[in-house]
Amino acid sequence: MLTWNKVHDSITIFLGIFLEAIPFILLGVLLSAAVAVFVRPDQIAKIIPKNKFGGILFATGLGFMFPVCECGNIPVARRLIKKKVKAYIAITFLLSAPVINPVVFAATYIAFKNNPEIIWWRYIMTFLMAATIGLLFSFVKDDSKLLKKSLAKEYNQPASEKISKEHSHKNSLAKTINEEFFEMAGVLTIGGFIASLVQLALPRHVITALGQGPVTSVLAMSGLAFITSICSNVDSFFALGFINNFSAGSILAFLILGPMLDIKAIIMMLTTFNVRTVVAISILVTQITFIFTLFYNLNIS
Amino acid sequence: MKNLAQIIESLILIFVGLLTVKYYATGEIIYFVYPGYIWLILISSIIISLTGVYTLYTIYQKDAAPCCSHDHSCCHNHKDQAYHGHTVNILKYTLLLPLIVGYLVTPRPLSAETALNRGLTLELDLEIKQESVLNIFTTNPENRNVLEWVRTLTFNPEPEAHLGLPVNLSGFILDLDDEDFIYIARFLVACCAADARPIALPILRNELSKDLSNGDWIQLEGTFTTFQRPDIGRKAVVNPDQINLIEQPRDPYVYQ
Repeated sequence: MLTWNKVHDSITIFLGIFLEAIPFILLGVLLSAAVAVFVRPDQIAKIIPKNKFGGILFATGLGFMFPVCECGNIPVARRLIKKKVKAYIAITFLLSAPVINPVVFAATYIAFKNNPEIIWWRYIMTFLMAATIGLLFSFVKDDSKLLKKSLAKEYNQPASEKISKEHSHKNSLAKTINEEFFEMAGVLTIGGFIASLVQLALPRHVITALGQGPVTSVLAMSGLAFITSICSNVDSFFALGFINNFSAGSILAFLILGPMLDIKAIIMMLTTFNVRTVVAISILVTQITFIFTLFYNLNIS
Repeated sequence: MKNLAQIIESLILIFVGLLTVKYYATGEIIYFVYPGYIWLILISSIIISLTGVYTLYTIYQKDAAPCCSHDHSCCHNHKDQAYHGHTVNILKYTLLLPLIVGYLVTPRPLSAETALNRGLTLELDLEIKQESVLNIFTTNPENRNVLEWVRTLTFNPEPEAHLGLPVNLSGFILDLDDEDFIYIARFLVACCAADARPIALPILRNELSKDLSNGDWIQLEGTFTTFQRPDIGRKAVVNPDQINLIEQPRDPYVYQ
């Protein structure tokens, strides 16, 4: 039965998620703006190790130089590819950078400091998944087969030293902060609203049944991660809303699948990769997430 | 029209920031977030408000950079941010939701209904940190709050170890329709209201507790005793000597 107390408590939960996330939205926005202005992917391209395993390892740590969520790292990946960096390196970077960066680590720590296993397993699983998928794609010899047609054509041409037009126009800092803040905060608002609505609208026995089943909980939270498309610098606070009712494995599924694969990320990836590549990435991410987190629920948790 | 949209966006930024300042000034911010992070949230909110003020200023000065003009001096690259157009416009106005509920709804902490919905924690399943153990031994029993008593009972669940120890604490009542007990509870918060869970101590029912309802805030004085029942075994429970109804305190939660 819906009571005013329940509605009011949902508002309290929603505002708690929103307020707690504000510093991390701002930090993500400021870093994203700084990256756009000061960091040139062609400089990074020169220092990436040439051997496969070194390159993949390096790519998983690139998030420390580009601590932005998927909206910010797709343009970076695209510029890396234009600078003749191998596509598998860019894919590894795309999958790992939204999580393996100091901003997201700080947010995850603050949200889950009383559940440290969530923190560590988020990073272990993200690293393993990004490296595995990067390694699989490294067996594709011709990178142009992975790329969107227009980019593939450009990829096959000799590298140019000219600074691309994309880089020559810069927003004013305030305008960039403005746009990025609204985007991140807007998605968080929708996500926070969904989190509080779930607690309000679903009967407790439904939440418990859905949340405690080792398989149903993983499927539910993976689906939620895909739909809500929350930026990784604030997704920990959203997931926190489910910690009391959902299995640890499902919380992990949300935290590792969300930054790699959601509606927003798919749209962004299609600006760089062709449909077949994006489908392949999607299948690999969902399958590996399911295996990892189900294993966690059944054997570790 | 474009200026009006920019003005509205700037005002949204300003009022989002001011919402946090309002909660901080009234002390109500602790209903939502862990106190240790308040300064970080406050500073960030002030920066966001100032960004809104600055953007208003640039609109006034007509310094805003043109976007997507016909000579393609665009503010962003369409290839890289293909979906941004209408999606970002819609997202901007979702921020009206926290503004509306934030400014129109009187803040208050989580209620007993949510506590009942989330289920009670009578023993902490977390690792007891060194400083928590130290606190258990250095804090006088009559000065321990609900969290400290739950930690004590987690550390040493043996009922006889606490027999006769005095209890003087406050919390809200939870009645689970148990014929022998009601509970005195507080929400334990680690990060924000989203993760809050109720921790509680059982109180023996007697004449003093017969008129209490879910959500009533009380000041409880009593002593620990032991209680045995086939379904729960032997437990340490509080035998109340005095129960007074009180106003909800300004700091209703306890923190890990």
